[in-house]
Amino acid sequence: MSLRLRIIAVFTACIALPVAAGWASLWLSASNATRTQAATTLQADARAAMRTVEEHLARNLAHLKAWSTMPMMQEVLINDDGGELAQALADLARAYPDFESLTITDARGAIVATTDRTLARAASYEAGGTRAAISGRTTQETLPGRHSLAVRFTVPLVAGYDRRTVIGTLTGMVGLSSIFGDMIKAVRAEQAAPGYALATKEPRQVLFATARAEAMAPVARSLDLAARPRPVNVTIAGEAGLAAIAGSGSRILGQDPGLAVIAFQSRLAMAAPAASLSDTFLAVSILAAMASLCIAWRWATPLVRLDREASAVFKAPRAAPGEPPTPQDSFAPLARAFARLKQAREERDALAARAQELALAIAVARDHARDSNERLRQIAGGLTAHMTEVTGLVELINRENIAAAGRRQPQPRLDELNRAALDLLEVIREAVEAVTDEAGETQSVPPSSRLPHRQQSA
Amino acid sequence: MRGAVIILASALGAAAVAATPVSAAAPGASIEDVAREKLAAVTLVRSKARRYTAAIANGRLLQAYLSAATTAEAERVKTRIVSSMKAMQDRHGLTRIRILWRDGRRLAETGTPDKGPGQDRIVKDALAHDPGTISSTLYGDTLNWAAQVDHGGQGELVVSVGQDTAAYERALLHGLGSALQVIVVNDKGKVVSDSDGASTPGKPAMIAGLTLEALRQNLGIGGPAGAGVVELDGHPVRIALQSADGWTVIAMDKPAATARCTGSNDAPCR
Repeated sequence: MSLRLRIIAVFTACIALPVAAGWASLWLSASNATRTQAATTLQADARAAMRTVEEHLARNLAHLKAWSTMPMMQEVLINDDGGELAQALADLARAYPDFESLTITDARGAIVATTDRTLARAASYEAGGTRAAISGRTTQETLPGRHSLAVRFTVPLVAGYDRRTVIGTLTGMVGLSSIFGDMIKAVRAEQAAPGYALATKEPRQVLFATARAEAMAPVARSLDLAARPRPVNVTIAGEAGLAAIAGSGSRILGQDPGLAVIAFQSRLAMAAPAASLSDTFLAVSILAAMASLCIAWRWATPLVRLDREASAVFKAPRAAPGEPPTPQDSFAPLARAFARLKQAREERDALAARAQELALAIAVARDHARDSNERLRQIAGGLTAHMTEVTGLVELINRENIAAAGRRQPQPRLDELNRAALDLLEVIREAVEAVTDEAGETQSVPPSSRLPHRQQSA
Repeated sequence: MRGAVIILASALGAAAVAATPVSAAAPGASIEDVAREKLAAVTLVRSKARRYTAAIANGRLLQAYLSAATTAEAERVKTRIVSSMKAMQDRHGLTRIRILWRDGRRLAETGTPDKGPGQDRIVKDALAHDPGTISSTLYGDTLNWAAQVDHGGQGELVVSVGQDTAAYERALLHGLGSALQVIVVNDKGKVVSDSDGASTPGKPAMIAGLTLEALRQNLGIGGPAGAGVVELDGHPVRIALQSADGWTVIAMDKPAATARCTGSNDAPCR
C-alpha cells in the first residue's frame, strides 16, 4: 500500500470514526430531546388552541357587551319602530361573521329584531338565557347552532335613562365552526403542525378536526377530556403518536363553555426535527470529510516525495532521486534535513572505508616492523657473535704479536691482520649500533603518531 | 368593630342590589318605572322626528338648491331632496314631509296629502319661532315639526314634518300590561297620545277626571316626577308622572272594569 493511500486511509478513519460517533450521539440525544420537546410543545399547542377559542369567544362576548351599550339599542323601547335596529343588526352580522345570528328582545322576551330568519316570525325568544339576561345577568349557553355547535351569549340591554333598568336583551349565536377555522389559522404557523380537533367535554364528541375526524372520534370518547395535564400515547388510524388535551375553563369567559381541544402529533413527525438535524450534521460532516481528504491529498504529496527521498537514502540508494521539494511545501525543511543527512551519511561511509584501509595498513606495517626488528635483532646477534669471534681473533693476534715481540721476531703480517681485524670489528660495531638504533627507533614510535605516518605512507 | 363590619357589608350589599339591573316588566315593577320607561320611549320618538327635521333643514341639499345658478341645476337638486325626504317617510310615524317657501308656496312634498294642517298655518307658526329652532305643534292627531331654513340672513324656507301620534301610541303600548294606561301630554296640557285610546289627541288632558295641573296639585307633585294614588269611582288608582322637555308621561292603573289581561284567562293584571 502506498504512502498516499495509507495517509488517506488514516485520515478517513480519523474523520469517519468521530463523525460516526458524533452522528450517533446527536441522533440519540436529539431524538430524545425532540420527543420530550414535542410532547411539551404539543401540550402547549393544545392549550394555545383552546385559549384561542376561548379568547375568540370572549372577544365576541365583548362585542356584544359593547353593542348593548350603543344608544341605538334604546330603540328597543319603541319596538324598533322605523326598523333601524334590524338594519343595524344586519350590518353587524355582515361585519362580524362569527355571529350566526343576532337577536334583540324586549324586557319581556318578545323579539324586537333578529337576523335569524327562523325567528323572524316568532313572538318571543324561548331561551333560558334570555330570561336570565332580563334579570340583568350575562348568560352563556352551548347548544346546536346553524351548522354545528354554537355558543349563545345573551347580554342585557340597560336603559339609558337610569342605567339600571333592563329594557331588553341582545343575543348572539357564535358558531364554533368559524372559530375553529380561525383557531387553525392561528396555530398552524408551522408545516409540521399537529392535527387538531375541537370536542365537547360532555358528551365526548368531536365537532371539528383538521384531519382524520372519524378516527379521532373514538379516541376522544376514550379519553378524559376534562383534565389531562400530560400528553398520552394514542393510535389514530393506525398511526402511533401523542395526543394532548386542553379543556376550556372559566377564567377567560367566566363560564366554562365545555369544550376541549385535542392536538395529535405522530411519532414520525415528532422525530422529524431530529432526523433533519442529524441529516444536516451528516451532510456537513461529509462535506467536511471531503474537504479534509482534499487537504490530506495535498499534504500527502510532499510526504510522498519525502518518502521517496527517504527510501533513496535508507533503502534504495540506486533509486532515482525525486524532485526536490519546492520552498512552499510544508515539508521542505524536512526534505532539506534529509538531504543533509544523506550527504553526511555518504561522508561517514567514505571515512569508515578509509579508516578500515588505514587500519589494515597499520597492521601490515606492524607485522613488517616486527619482522624487521627480528631480522635486525638476528643480524645484531649475528654481528655480535661475529664481533666476539673477531675480538677473539684480535686478541689471538695480539697475543701472537706480543709473543712474537717477546721473541723478538717481529711479525708484520700480524699487525696488518690485527688492523684489518680491528677495522672489521669497527664495521661490525657500527652495523650493530645501526641495527640497534633502527630496532629501538621502531619500538619507540607511539601507535597514534604512527597511524597518520602509515596512512600517509599507505 | 364587628358592628362596623356588619354595617359596611350591609351597605355594600345594598349598593350591589341597587346596581343590579332590573326590568320594568318584571313582576313587582313599580308604576314609576313604567312611567320612566315610557317617557324614555316617547323621548326617543320625539328625538327621531326632531333629528329628521333637523337633517332636512340643515342639510346641504337645501342650501345647494337655494344657491343653484340655473333652473336645471335646481331641479336636479330638488330631485335629490325629494329622494331624501322619501327615505325618511313612514319612519317613526312621519307621514307627511313638506318644504315650503316663506310665502306659503310648496317646494317639495312627500307623504299623505290630507294629513296635517294647511301650509299657511305651518309657515306662520314656524316663522313665529326663532331661526335655528325646531318647533313642534300639535294639530289634532298630527304632531308637526317645523324648522326654518336660513338663507341670506332670513328664513327662506320652512321644513315641515308631520308625525302621526300613532307612533307615540305604539311606543306606549309596547310591552305595556293591559292593566296599565299611559298618556302623553304636551307642554300645553293637550293629549299627544293615549295608550288606551280613551283620550283624543289634541284635546286637553283629563286624567282621572282631573286636568294635569289639578292632578299635580292633588298628588302634591311639584317636580318633574312623582307618584301617588287618587280615588276614581271609589277605587284607588296609582298614578305616576314623569316630565321631560315640557312633555309629561302619566302612567296609571286602568279602571278595574277594563283591567283584564289578554290571554291570561281574564285574570286581573297586576
